[in-house]
Amino acid sequence: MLKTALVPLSLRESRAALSALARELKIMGTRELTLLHIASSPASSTEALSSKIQDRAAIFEEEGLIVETVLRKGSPALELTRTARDLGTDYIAFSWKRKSWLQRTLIGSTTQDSIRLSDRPVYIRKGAVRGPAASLRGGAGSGQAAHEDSLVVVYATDFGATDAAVMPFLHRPNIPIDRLVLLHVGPRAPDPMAESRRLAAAEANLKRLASECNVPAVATRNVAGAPKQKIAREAARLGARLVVLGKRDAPGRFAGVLGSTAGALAFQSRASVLIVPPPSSRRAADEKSQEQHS
Amino acid sequence: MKHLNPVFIISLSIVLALVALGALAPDLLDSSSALVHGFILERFGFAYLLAGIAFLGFCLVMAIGPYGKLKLGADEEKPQYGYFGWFSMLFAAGMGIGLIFWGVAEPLSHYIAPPAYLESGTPESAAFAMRYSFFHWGLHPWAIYIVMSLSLAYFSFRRGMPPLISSCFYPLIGDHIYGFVGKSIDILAVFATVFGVATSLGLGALQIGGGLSQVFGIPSGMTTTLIIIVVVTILYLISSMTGLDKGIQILSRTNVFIALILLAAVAILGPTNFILDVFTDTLGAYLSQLLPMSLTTAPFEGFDWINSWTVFYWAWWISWSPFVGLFVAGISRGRTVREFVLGALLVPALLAFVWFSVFGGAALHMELRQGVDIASGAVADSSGALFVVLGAFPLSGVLSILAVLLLSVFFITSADSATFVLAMMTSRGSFSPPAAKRIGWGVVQSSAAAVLLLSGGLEALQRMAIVAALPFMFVMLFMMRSLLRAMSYELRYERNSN
Repeated sequence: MLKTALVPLSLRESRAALSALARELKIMGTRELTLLHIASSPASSTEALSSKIQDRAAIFEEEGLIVETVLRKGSPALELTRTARDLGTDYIAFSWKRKSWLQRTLIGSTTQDSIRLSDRPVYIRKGAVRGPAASLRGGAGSGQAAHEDSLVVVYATDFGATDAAVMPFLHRPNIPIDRLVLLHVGPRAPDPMAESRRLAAAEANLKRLASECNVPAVATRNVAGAPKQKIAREAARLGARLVVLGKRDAPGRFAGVLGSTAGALAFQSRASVLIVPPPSSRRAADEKSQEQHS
Repeated sequence: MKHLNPVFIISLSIVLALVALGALAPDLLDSSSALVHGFILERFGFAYLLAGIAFLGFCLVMAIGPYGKLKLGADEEKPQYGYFGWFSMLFAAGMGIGLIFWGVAEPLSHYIAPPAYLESGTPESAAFAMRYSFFHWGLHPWAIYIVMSLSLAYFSFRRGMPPLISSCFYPLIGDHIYGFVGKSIDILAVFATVFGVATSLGLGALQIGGGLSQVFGIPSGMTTTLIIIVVVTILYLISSMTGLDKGIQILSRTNVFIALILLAAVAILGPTNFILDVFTDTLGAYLSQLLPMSLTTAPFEGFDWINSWTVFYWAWWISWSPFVGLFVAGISRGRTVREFVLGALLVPALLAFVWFSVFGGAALHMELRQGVDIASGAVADSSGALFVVLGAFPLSGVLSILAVLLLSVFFITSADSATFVLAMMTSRGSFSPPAAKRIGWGVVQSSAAAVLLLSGGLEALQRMAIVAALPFMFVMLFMMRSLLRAMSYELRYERNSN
């Protein structure tokens, strides 16, 4: 499911970060990838840029991955999502570079824009929280029961249409998950009785989802609160190395202003993040692409 | 002992301690309360204004938006009281005695002492005086009350929780409402209610004394005031024991009836056309200036006037909101959110506009057209201003007796409903609080008013109520958030699943 990846390069990434990303892409089952650099300045020298991209490609090839390179010009997030669609890659993988709130406000964030625009899954590889935990495998998180070398994945579900899109990714061998925690964060009901009904319904749904997973260890967690604030915190508590979240087709009315849960999670989570868009958006995008080509 | 819950014990202890301080060391209470009160009004004035407009906006969203169709009770429930009974009780609890007190005095005060950028005693200051009287008693106070009462009614009648202010925070803090945070909110509500109502009772007793002196020549001294408090306390305790269905409802209906007679008499016997002109003109000015007035802090002209009037009022309404909110919630069961918000926002505000137009208009007519100087007297003694105006009318004796009667009944209904609400808040939200608790709170309220009138600490007590309003403003802002979250949850999850 994650066989081909599109990896955007700013060309400011360190060799270590790219090397770590390459190893993790392999763990995710990726065999081929396209390295893409989008030059924002028309004056940039094509030869010089191509040479730099080739240099970075060698890092991925060292890990046994088949690499192609592409150089484009234009708006990064738009070009990135368009290229992913044109090439038909399975997902987009970012090497995370932390930006402060001020940087994000003033300069913007290609990652956040890509999450919003992309009809492909977006994977964001985060830096290590502690020492050797620079990759998906290895290094426990801060939470309980995370073995040094186990891949603990948290899937934050809202029991909506996103389940259908995300669940296939959570089957072995698509992602070699050692321990899966199904997390539901929902708003607290207005009164204690309604809250106990909500909790019971959520528990039943979590159990149903758990029964559909073929992962060695599956646990469930049910939390009341605002998803945007709670998912990252719970994932850290659970020792997650990867947080998976489904993206909605039609987010809430205020998401445009306040930002979506997926966008917020990309910045808040200390673990790597995989955001999966609904299948309908990919279908619509593919149909549109075919029409344009024909 | 089963009724002695922490909210009751702690709030009663705080109230008694402060009343004792006011009685034994009034100067200390006066200086310390003045310090805190001045600091709050000066530093948080802008916050009160912003909160006021936020409350009004919230009410409009509730009335117009999808939440309007939700019922304050089960879906099949019908309203417990008819419109006249409901409006009468709304008005009696929310405005009542204060409106009678300030109906003449406030327009005259603004007329004679407007902000520095206006000249005193001019037609411009008269228009300003009427506009700001409308503003202070119009939509904003009711928006503040509605935020509180709507939340209480929704969480109590629709969600089956106890009618306590802490219950309204379940969507935000969950089971913490049963712990320290919840109890603190409820204690603060009791604190604000006792001091707010005790102050109003003290001022009301003074005004009744002034009226009796005017009509019957009874000397208006401290003895008269204390006798008034004792008599009225006995009457409202009797009324309180009969519960909402009988005592308060009958008195409120009687009250509105007397108020309408007095209003009609002054409007007909007084300068009718002038009053109608004042009403029309001020209503237009109020509506067109609503937003600017709501957010005027006058930073370049000096904040003093806004501070002493608008900010003071906003804080005052907030300090009254736990009491009025609980009472109004109790009488609004079975109404839809839309009906409740529109009814409670528009009808009492309209009645206040008419009241100010008639009494303020008549007083300004005497000042501007007849050359009678009543404004300086009204500013010096606000409690006697109404009777000075009535004294210039034909049948002044009858009108003054009606006014005294109205004041007394409003006094009884305010104290009566406050007693009921206090007993309810300190009995874990029971709609049938024990009689001993009702009597206890009634006696505490009246004693506080009497003791502080004697010691001169009444104004200090009023300032304490204003001080309590600051944390309550934040409580109410969170309350809006909580109510929105609860209603959104209901519409999104529960209605859809049905």
